[in-house]
Amino acid sequence: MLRAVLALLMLVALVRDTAAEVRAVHTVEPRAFGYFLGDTLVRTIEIETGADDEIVPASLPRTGASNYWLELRSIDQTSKRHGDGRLHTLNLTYQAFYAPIDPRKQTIPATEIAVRGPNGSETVAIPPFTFLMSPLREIFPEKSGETSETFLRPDFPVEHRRSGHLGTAALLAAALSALFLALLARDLAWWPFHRRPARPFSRAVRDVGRALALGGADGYRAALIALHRAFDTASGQRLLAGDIDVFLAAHPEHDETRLQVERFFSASRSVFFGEAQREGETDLPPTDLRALAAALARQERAAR
Amino acid sequence: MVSAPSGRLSRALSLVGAGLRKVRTLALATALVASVSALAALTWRLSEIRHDNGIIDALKAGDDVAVDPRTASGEVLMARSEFLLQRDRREEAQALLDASSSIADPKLRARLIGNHGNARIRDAIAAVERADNDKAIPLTRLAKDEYRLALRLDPDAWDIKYNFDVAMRIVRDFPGYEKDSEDVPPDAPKRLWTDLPGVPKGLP
Repeated sequence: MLRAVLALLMLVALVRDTAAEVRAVHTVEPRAFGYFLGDTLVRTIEIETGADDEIVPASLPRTGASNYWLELRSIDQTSKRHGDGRLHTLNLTYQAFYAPIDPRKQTIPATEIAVRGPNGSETVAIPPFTFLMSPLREIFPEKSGETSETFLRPDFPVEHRRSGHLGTAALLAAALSALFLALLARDLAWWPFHRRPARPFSRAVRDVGRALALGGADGYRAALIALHRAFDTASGQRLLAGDIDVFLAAHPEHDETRLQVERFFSASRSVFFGEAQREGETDLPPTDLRALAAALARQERAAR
Repeated sequence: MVSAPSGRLSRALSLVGAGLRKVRTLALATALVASVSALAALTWRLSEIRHDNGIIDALKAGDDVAVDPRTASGEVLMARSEFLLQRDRREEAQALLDASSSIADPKLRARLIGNHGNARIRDAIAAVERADNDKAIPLTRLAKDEYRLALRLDPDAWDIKYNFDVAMRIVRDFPGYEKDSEDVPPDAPKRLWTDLPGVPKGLP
């Protein structure tokens, strides 16, 4: 007796475990009329299942030709949590290639989809869908005066390539390029901003480079003078060695090159008023002079 | 009391301003390079479009301009295909059609294929009017395949749907027509269009 009850209990358990848990099936159908040759229709099938159940991909209808007049174009499948279960949504896009002569009902046949759970699978029946297809042309076009010349719609015309918004975009890019070039020229004191009062050292970099390129004592002197002019313009007055502290206090951006600036003034003094007439005899070689001018110009740009 | 926060704000702002000024030169140079390269790319594409439109105009005017189907744009292929179809150079047109899968725009490709279908249907209608069914039936079948392919690419192309409907009726008529073709007078094909069956039997 006990053995029989046990066997029954096991059987019940077995039966309960074989199936996945499909809770509800809901189909959202499109309109059932007003379809012409080549129209598409989208059927949405929602299947509510247990949390761990999934749709067996191989059981889905195959895309491609279903029969001579119907094609399944695509299946979009999504799956999301829904309460304590899952909601699977299938969007089936069909295209009908039936050319009716009078309005005629056509049917997408019923199908089955398998749902697989942890303990087994269950099939879901998808109902058939019947819809009305309509003709595009008269039954007897000749009666209204059509001939074989006028049966066909004309060919699609050959059209030019359209540039769309490319032209506008190119103009915009040109304007932006001009704007950025102007801003960059102003920042680096290029022509026509080369006489910009706020950029004396940027100008000095060019003048020093040009003067040093001449070479010799004269070139070196000219380079020194150019940098002196820049200091004069930057401070607003003739700047002498004794004014360096005042100048650096007013222009703190140049403070980190204080040592080099002092070397520049001492070199200048020895060149113009001392015995060191030759460039090699000062403690500021031409490369250092050029580097100093570049550093001052960089600091000047960063400050204003 | 009020000036303290505003002083802090202006200090913060001036710090941000100083930071921006430090990177200004680099930022401006980068922006200039970016906008100039955008300008170059756009100009290149515009000149390509102008060149293609020149080819299209030449083909429309009747110049036999050769076109490489692997590199040409869809619009140029369309123009070349029309050129070949109008001159009944069907084999070259077919080769072009086979290469048309490179066209990215599905609507444009649908039009190209639809025009091929139209050319075949015009031939089929001419064959029907000569009572040459052996030629008309395969031509119509090919046209129907092409219309179907075109409608797959662009399901909203009404002209293709309409011409597909015309093609469908040509082949549907044939089974009934073929049986008594022997004792039909030469002007009979005209009746073909009126003798439409009420119930279509046997579809492709």
